[in-house]
Amino acid sequence: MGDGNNPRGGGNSANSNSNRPEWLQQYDLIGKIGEGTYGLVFLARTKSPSNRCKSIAIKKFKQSKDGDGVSPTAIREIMLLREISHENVVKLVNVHINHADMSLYLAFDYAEHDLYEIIRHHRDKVNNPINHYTVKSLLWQLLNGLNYLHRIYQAPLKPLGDNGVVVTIWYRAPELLLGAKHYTSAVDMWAVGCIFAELLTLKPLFQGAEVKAPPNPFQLDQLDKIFKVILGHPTPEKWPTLVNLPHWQADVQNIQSHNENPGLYNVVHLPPKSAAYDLLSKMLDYDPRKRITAAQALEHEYFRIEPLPGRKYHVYVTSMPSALVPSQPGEKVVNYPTRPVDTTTDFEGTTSLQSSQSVSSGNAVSGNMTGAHVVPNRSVPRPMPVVGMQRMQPSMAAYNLSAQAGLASGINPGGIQMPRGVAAAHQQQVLF
Amino acid sequence: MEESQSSQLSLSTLICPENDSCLDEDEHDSFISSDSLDNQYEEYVRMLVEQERINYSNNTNQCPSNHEIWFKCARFDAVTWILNTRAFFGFRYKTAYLSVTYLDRFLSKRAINREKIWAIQLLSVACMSLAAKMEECKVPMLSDYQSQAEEYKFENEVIQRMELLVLDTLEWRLSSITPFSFLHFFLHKLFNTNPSKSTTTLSALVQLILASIQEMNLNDHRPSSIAAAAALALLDQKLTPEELESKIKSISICGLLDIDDVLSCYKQMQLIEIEKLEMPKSTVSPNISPINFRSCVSEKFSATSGISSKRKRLTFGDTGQSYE
Repeated sequence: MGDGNNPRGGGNSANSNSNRPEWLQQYDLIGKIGEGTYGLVFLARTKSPSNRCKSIAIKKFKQSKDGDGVSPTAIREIMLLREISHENVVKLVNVHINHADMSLYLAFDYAEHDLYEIIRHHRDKVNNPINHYTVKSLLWQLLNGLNYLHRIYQAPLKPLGDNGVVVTIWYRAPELLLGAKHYTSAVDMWAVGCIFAELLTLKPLFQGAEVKAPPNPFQLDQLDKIFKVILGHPTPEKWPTLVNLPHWQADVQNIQSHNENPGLYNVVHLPPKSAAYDLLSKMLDYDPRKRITAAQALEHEYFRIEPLPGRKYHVYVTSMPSALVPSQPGEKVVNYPTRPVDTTTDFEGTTSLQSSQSVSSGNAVSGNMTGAHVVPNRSVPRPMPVVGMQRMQPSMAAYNLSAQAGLASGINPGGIQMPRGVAAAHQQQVLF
Repeated sequence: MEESQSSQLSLSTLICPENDSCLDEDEHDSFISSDSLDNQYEEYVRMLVEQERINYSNNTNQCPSNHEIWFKCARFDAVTWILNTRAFFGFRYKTAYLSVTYLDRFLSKRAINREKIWAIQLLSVACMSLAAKMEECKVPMLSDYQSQAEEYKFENEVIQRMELLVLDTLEWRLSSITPFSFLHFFLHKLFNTNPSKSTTTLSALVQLILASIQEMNLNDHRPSSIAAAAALALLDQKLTPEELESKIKSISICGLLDIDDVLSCYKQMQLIEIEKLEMPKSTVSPNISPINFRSCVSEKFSATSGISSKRKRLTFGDTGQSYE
């Protein structure tokens, strides 16, 4: 993770550093909470008397390539975040420009819990499923946030290409795995379905082994997990546009061959006639055009029968590590662990950290922009789509990132024990 | 769909008739395929106007120097450069319009000295680059804009700092409604034509709007007013205010339109010689015509006075604003 390369030592000592830029001095820095190809995320508390000790997550935006100016991704995303206002969508409270190296830092409201932590807690510590009321409430709020995002950005369709929208493949919709090039709101709903199942079983639903190279490789194992293990093979009858998808057409490694009939209800332990199962299977419809939308899902019977979804926890769809906060200010969210905070990483070590990872010399140069590739073997967000792509609806681009970001709440690879930073990196990956 | 390939820089390429599709804002694509505008589209326009009304309601502060002749001249040249650059890169019209919006919004909040007129050129480059990053699929390198601005050379880092200053000054609010979103609507309402078949009229409207923004400060006018005024001017440039008002009142969403604003835009468009729009205008020469502030200022308006400004200076200091 590079923490060992941090030349400055403990995080708290950073606060005494008088050389810090002025904008940074309004915060007490707590530590690092995430890392991905976009850069790092830090936890901080505000110092101002009015907002005493308010928790803030500060995300450093990856530097754009020299000569390109401020990256389009940053511009579109921040523009979008400024427009967004919904109780289930995370709030951007400030954008700081670090003038020395022209880097950008986004300050978000922060809460200490995320879905991944909750799932893991139930799996590893409590050894008990999350109760249905909580699952329903979490799903309800997640869908509400997502529905808001889908509503304000109606025309989905964003070319994927090498824009760096890399979701951990476990949550990736089958059309994307089969080579579809466009990101749609249906893709989000597939991921929500996966999260729903994971909340029920505490295990990722489709846990395929990821092929890491080349960029955007064909993920056979992931498709196998979906086709063979759980949902059964798709057919052109059930999914008419299936035949247009590149990997299906090419019949790469015989993915068209048929297999036995599995059973989703066996995996999620839900009666096939239950409302919960019905909703889940509609989220996991193969045909993206038939897949249930967030708005439809919110109208589903599942949310109309007891127990009705409640607000015991508050879910943000977020571009940060997902967050849950108590609905009553000051009330502690009992039992659940808080997100791990790495207090050994110095905030100003940001540049050093990145440099030391990607530049072998490890020489931290302020303003050096080459050190952004923190996680290897992943396609790194590029500031610009390649030539020949369908023209991008710009606001959508940003939106997609955010919506995906939101899903990161659950997209977080819940099943595999990973070094914390890595887990966070996967999660963050989704976001920016 | 993409406009492209215009390599010659002149107003004639800028305003050349293009096929209908490139005039569409994406938002309408799904609406205009049908033969008549349906309620859904009208509802959509209504929503846009409503949103626009909110955005423009607190838009009053203007810098005093923005009325001085040297400033108007510099702005005219900046907008000309933006329009030419749009054509050069084959950008969408919306990109050019947004650039000018950013420019005007920036200049309403921060002052630029007459002595630092180069800063307006730098600002034009930054605004254009930001608009392209918002709207375009393929964005040029910063240095590519430089070949378009010959008088001053700015280093990439300087442009990037200006981009940041613009973003900060505009509080990152770059999303903006443009008159192009309303064109089909007014075309339908005022010309009684099927929008999908009136390419020529649409082109003329776009030309008229682009010509008008060289003189009009976009802070002062709502996009819907500009679109309505352009449609009315194209229909008839000799309307009296009363006639204009009655025309507007025949439009279903008239209650949402700002009639005084439409009238004000219309008056400025009356000065534009529409029939000459398709011909290259004065600033245009066969080769590239970059901003040339000095010639403009010194030759045409040599007698204008300098300005003294107590407003916020152009600085790159830290300006983190809280959004709460």
